[in-house]
Amino acid sequence: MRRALLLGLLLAGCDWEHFAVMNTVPLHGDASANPVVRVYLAVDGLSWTTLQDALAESPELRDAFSSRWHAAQSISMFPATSDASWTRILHTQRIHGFEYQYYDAAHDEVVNRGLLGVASHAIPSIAGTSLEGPAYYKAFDYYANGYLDTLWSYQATSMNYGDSLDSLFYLLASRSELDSTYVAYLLELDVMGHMQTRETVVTSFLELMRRIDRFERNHPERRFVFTIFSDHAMDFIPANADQLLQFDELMPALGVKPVYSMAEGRAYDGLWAIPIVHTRVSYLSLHTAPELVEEVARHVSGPPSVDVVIAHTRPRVDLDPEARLTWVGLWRGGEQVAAFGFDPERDLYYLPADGRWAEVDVDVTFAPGETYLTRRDEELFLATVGHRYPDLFFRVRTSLDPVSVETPADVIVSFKRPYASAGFKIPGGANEIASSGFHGGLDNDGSAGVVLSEERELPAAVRSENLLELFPALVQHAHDRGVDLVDGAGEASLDY
Amino acid sequence: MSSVVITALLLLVASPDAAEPAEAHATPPPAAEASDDFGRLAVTGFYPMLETTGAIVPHRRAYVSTSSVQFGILDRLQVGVHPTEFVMRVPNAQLKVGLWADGPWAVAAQLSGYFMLSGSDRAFLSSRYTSGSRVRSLVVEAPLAVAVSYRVASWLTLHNTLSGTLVTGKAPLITEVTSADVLTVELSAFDKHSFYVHLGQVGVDRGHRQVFGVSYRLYYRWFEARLGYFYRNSDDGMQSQPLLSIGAIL
Repeated sequence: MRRALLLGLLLAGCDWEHFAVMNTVPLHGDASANPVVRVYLAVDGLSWTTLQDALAESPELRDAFSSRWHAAQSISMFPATSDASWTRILHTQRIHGFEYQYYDAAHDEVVNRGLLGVASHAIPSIAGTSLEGPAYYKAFDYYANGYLDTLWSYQATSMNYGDSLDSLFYLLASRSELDSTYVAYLLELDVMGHMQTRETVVTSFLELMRRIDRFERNHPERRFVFTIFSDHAMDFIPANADQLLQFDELMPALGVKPVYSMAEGRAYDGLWAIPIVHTRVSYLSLHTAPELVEEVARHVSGPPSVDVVIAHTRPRVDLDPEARLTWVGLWRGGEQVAAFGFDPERDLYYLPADGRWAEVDVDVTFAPGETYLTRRDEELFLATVGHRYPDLFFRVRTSLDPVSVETPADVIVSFKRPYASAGFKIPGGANEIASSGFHGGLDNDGSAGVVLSEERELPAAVRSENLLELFPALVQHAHDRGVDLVDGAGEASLDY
Repeated sequence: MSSVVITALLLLVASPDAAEPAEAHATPPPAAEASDDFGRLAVTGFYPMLETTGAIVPHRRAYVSTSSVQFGILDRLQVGVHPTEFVMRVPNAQLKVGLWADGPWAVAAQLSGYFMLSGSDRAFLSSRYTSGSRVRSLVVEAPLAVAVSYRVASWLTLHNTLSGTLVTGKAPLITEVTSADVLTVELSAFDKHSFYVHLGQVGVDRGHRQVFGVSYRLYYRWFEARLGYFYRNSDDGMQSQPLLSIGAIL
């Protein structure tokens, strides 16, 4: 153990030495070679509501947004959770599952279970080893400041936020000497949303905007054009201990046995599912056998703590006799409230007239005798943004596809806030931590992030999946960094 | 240049006459002319590139550590490298010449070359560290430094390193010389333990920054360990980091 610690320290010492060598003597570049520098800041968990709060509080920010900044809601993927969402936004190589804990279909096992999996968030990524982080990290010029950065982000969030801002802008000044694009990531606003208050997040966001303003004023030698985007929102709805659910423990009462492999489930004569219970989020994913999907969805949608459950459902033979469409159902209160079909060839959604669409805040009207209607993706996007479930149809449909994850869930539970998945249980107490705000669920509060830009005008709302279409410099930058970009969800583009 | 002012103030406060005039002569010179003194005074700076000392590795002796390997030739020359930087795609070398040593004074000049190869900016073991510049083609940084070490008292030694670093590479990189001055205040206790305060200024114009930190050095027989924490401050922000070195005096 001592030898391993010493070896680890010596290896860390190599990084420290190199860090000093590469950052001490400034390199200056000819400003005429890159007179404009595009800066993209990926801010974890920055909500549309935080922007609105900040605008209400700061006249300076209102001036900035009336003159040079443009703002749009950025509707995240479902489930609105960080690693999977950044992967989809940046179109990087798929990760295993929505969370660090995931179901490995090849080995039929749940990987990174328990507190060890949670603790793994703080372990530094080491390239070329099993500790290598998700592929989207490579798209960022800067995403952390040292081995213990993540640990400090949770332990001393405000202090580490200052450290992160200092590091981010120190590097921006250096790297912009020779580069025309800089992409950086900030974690702490998400942590503050989970663990502190809405006001703290607003104050910290305003600090970021002030630093941007100061940086631009300090660097007249180039024109810096900033864009900020986020992976999901934060609902700022706290949960008390009773509202933090150990859903795997509740499943037997709902008639679904929790298991930890398909083999274990198939040996059971009844309903079963593999729960992925990891961090404190407002959703939960389940894996089960294809023939059990609908029944599991129906059963787990029963409790009042569950808002809506998503799963594939059988084709409606009256509307789709040849089973050409992909059908997705929404369950609540132990019954299916609506289902819709999607035709990928025509990018068209089929909404049956017998769906209780008002219950999922979708405003559609059927003519007498009309059994279904069709809607284009753009129409449904515009019809649902600002509603309780923004971009409902696209998000629900693609949540069950292997877009950013190798093994998507079979059933996804979105909790009715303030209920949420406890995710982990710390022995001996302290289980109220990270329960000030949540995201992950299908609802607007945790899903409406932001795109804020000095670079271009924006529509009122964008689909986060399409960010690269709006900012092509991000694509070029990813190529420059050797990041392999992959296709995202099919039929995701929108004609804004 | 602020460190020059601080140096002057410290010299005033702890002049050899006021402090320990007799011992100043009795104390072995900081330049390691006497081989048995080798190791007591560091023969390299701790913070890379910017600082060194007036001391020289004695003839046919060596200092081998995780951050630096140095050999002594004829009690006048010292040649060496930062070994781990070779792995990080930065081949490098240092040549140090002892210019003058007398009593508590030692003066040396050092020329270094750091050849940052393409990809060296991403050679970190962990992606949690970021280089200040992308290195697409060879960048050379060559500091020429003059270091003065002055033992003010048995418990206090000052090291000042004044340097100019030639930076050159392919356009749009601008070829230029960046000045730097680093004062290192060494407080010695029980012979084997030293505490250092490092204060430095890099550049005076656009992109100028301050480097400062504290470190501890243990020297026991042939063994040496150094541990410190440093900050780099600019008008835009700040970086901080630890430094660690474990080595042997041979």
